[in-house]
Amino acid sequence: MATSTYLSNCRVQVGATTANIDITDQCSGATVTIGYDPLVTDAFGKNYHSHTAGLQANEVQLDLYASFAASETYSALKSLVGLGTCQVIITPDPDAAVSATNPALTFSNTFLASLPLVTAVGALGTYSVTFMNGSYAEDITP
Amino acid sequence: MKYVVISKRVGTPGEEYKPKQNESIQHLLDGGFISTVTETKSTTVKTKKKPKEK
Repeated sequence: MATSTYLSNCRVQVGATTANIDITDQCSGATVTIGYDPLVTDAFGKNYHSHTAGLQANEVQLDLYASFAASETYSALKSLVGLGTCQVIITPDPDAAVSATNPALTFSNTFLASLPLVTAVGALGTYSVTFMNGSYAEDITP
Repeated sequence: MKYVVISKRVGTPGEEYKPKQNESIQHLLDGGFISTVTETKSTTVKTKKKPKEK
């Protein structure tokens, strides 16, 4: 059995240059991808493929409930569409201070290409937004 | 210019919002998360002193 587990419950903050809007209570899911482009370094003398890290290739995908009320998801996201300076911060434990065991996963200079609204009869409207690329840093400063 | 928090998503409503250095806040104003504080001066009525009676 795992000695330590994590029950998903993140704090989610977004903003144009600084993640200054907390949309935790409108977020039902997040997929955070941290990584690098793999650059091929195959060469004679090897009998396997090999790679090295290229540019950072990060992505944050959020599932949000749609709301057109004041200070809700639509008003928070509409002005971020098309910006390449968006910042997103995902903190694993929303109730605890930022620390080494509760790092603020900080994505800066991300790009929000679109704001797709998903609606259906009898269902809550949702947005599935993807903040693309940008740089990643782990903030552990309380 | 001073700003005040409107939405709990950016702070405690009613408190002053102090942007950090190089922080973009136009989207906060557009989205109604904060608003500008208009400082009004109190109007004081100046009255002329009556001349002392001799």
